[in-house]
Amino acid sequence: MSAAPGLARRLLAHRQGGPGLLLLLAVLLLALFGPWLWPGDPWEMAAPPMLWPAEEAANPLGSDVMGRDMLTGLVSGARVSLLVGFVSTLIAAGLGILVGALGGFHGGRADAALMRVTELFQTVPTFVLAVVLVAVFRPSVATAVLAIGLVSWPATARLVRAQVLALRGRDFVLAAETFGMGTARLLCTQILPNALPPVVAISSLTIAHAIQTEAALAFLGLGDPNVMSWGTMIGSGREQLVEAWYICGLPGLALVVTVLAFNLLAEGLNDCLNPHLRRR
Amino acid sequence: MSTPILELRSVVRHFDTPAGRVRAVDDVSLTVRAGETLGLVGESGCGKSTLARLAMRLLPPDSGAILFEGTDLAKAGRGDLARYRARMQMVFQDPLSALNPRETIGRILEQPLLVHRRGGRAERRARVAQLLAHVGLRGDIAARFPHELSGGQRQRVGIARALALEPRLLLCDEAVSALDVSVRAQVLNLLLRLRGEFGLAALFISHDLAVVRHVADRVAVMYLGQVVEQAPRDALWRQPRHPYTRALMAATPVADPAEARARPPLPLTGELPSPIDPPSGCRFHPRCPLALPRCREDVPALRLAGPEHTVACHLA
Amino acid sequence: MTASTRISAVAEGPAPPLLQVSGLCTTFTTHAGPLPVLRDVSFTLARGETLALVGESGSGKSVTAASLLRLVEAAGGRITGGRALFDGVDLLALPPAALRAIRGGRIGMVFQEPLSALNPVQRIGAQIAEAIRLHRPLSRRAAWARAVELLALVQIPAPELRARDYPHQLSGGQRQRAMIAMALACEPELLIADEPTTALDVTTQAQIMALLEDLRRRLGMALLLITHDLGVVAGVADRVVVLYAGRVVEQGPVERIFAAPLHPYTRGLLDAVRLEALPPGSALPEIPGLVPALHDLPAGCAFAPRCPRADARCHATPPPWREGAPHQGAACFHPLPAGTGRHAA
Repeated sequence: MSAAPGLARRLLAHRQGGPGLLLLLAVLLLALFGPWLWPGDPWEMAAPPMLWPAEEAANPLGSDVMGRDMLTGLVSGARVSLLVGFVSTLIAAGLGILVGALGGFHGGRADAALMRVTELFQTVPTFVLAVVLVAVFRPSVATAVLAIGLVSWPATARLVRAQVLALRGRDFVLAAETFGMGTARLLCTQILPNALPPVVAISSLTIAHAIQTEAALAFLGLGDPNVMSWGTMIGSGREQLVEAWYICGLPGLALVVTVLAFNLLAEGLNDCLNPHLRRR
Repeated sequence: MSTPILELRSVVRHFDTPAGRVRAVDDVSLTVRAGETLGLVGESGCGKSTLARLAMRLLPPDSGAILFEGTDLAKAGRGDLARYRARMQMVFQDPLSALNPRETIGRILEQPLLVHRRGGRAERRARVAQLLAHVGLRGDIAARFPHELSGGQRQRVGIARALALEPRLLLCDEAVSALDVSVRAQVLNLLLRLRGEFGLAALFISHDLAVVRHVADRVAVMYLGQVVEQAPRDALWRQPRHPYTRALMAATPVADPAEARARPPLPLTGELPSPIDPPSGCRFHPRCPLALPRCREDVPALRLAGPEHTVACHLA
Repeated sequence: MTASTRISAVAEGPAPPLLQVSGLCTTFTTHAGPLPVLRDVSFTLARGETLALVGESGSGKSVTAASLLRLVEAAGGRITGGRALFDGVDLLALPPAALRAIRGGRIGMVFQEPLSALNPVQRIGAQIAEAIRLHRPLSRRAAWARAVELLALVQIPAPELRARDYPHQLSGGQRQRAMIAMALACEPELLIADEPTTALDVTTQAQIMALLEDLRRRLGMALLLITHDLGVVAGVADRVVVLYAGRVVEQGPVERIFAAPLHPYTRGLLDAVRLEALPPGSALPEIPGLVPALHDLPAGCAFAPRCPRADARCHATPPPWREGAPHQGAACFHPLPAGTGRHAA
């Protein structure tokens, strides 16, 4: 439906979707305008080490054990987190939709084969698989994105398959088939537009999960060595947890807020995109 | 007059389910001639909806031929199929589920034209307006979504879409069953009018004998996957031969209190058996008031009982 | 106790009606504002009588039934006015406990879709036995025996075996019979049947209607039959109430309604089901236009925009109720003259 502004309005009015959208907007603004407001290299040791927040006007959120500015780091982390979250989810959604749509539409042996592959991916713990993938290739933002994308698609594939399977037999799809619509067009114009709303909702959760996975990878030292991410910050601050909890605490809080934002948004999208709940 | 536009020859379609094999359509032969309306009557589970999907080649038959204007659709390739599908269109039972909820009415009507690359943008738009006018809808409905229309309006859109490619045959699968009585008359009138205007042939599938009697030239009665009787309309009502046909007629309500109360009780026991493991011999024998021992064993063949009147019953 | 002994106990002059509904109004709350689904619905039902409540979708016929048993409240509806005297007691003012005793006790109910009205994971016999034990102090064993007896009463073959079946193991017609058996569990004085045959095939429909009629006669209960199909009504109803857009537009004895309807809408409905009177292939008499949306009802008669007889007054003011013939009335300024029930054959 062409009502994107309508959707935003409904989301804002939603009990979970509204706060989620606002939190996400805050993180997004931080990532977009942060480097412009607080310029500087997050790796640069620009201050005395272990400054507490609000101790020094130049470093409003303090500095870490190496004297790197926390605020600059948080801004950089926000960019990394959102980038990894969005791109890897795009990959996961693309793969998931492709596998799910083909399986659900054609059924039979193709479906069975695709579903076995999906199950295979689901039985391997996703985080372990991501660790292996990143470790085998060299740790970088690109490999993290690819690895996370590659382990996150099965849930989307299952959802899309179930949707396509249900829509495949609906009369309006049959009607389009009776006037000679081919497979690709049937999928793109008739089935997918009706199958995607729940995929959008689940993708919001996938983003949240991807952000967590990236932070965990970076925490383990499998992040991009040239990029300051929240996981890196938490990892480097863990030894000073007792005397300077804020070094882990601030990026941790940022992580929680962002993941929460996407979770709330997923909840809101789920309700707002559901035509049965919307009608009345 | 007598050239068949659609011909089903010994069509069989079974479905394998965990509970067993469903004999949905079992050796059915039917013809629809150009410009003629064939009514197909039967109760749920008799296979009439499967038959509709077979005729439209939405399902392939297990065996048998489906000839449209002489070409076997069961064997036709992709290109031929697309060409023939334009000439044979379908109107569905539930008009809401037959329209894509995310497309506007204008877009829905445009789809067949897009698929068949008929005309440019402006021509397509003009055609949509013309189609809406044909089915008695205002042009501004093109901008609306299916859920914004009433049931009768939706079914009109469904009919307009079926007409978009100028078909020769319209397949109506319970096309008026989901509508309120007062709206049903409007839609039936529309179908009757369009049929005359465009000289359409039709396969009109319904459980409602009264409606079929009103619109069909010839009528076929289906029971558990088989045609048990087929005859021109007047002959069938003058002298129904098959006990099941008679039972259907006796079960159809009459809108006259005196007549309804004077009716003898329904000469029919039990209910429709499952199409999984249908009864042996004549499939109707467990419910038939006239059944003889041989009905349990011998399968009655369709035989001629009058001009164009065939029946599959040992006793008829 | 049978219905007849109960009647003789109270009867002094004409027997009071079993059910007397007057001025029933029900409103549903929606985003678009309050939706008046029933507006001043009144009718009476005598003991042992069959009354048919006829209307199309949106007419409020099912909401009427649900309002009588106050089942609308769960669906977001609110009864905003009126009374429903059942044997002298106002159902609409009854405390919840007393109402529960009447639901499934003195009033039984049969729904359109038996598969969704029956519990899928409980045996048919157990469901019926439970319904009995809610109202009667019977042992489990006795209730089960009674359930089997009820299944036999509704002519289910091999009732001892079927009682052990789950709903999905029965055919559509048998499920509806089981629903009826459950509704009959406590020998109700009134059976409300909401579109009992709409989901069924033609031959099964005829069988179920014959069963209902037979049971009504044998058990002496009253039947409130809710249907959209005038054809079904002709064979079984004693009286007919026609609803349109939440109002009673006509009521009267079944012969009168079919032979000499007063309201043009009733006439239109009759024409729509009398296809056999027309030459095949000819244009059917149709009611033009659409059923009005309840949130956008016309100021006057709700049927006026579709009515061939409507004039300025019909559009401006709601027509009052008028008796057009003995026991027959309609809400219409321009009722049809007698003898126009059938169009020329």
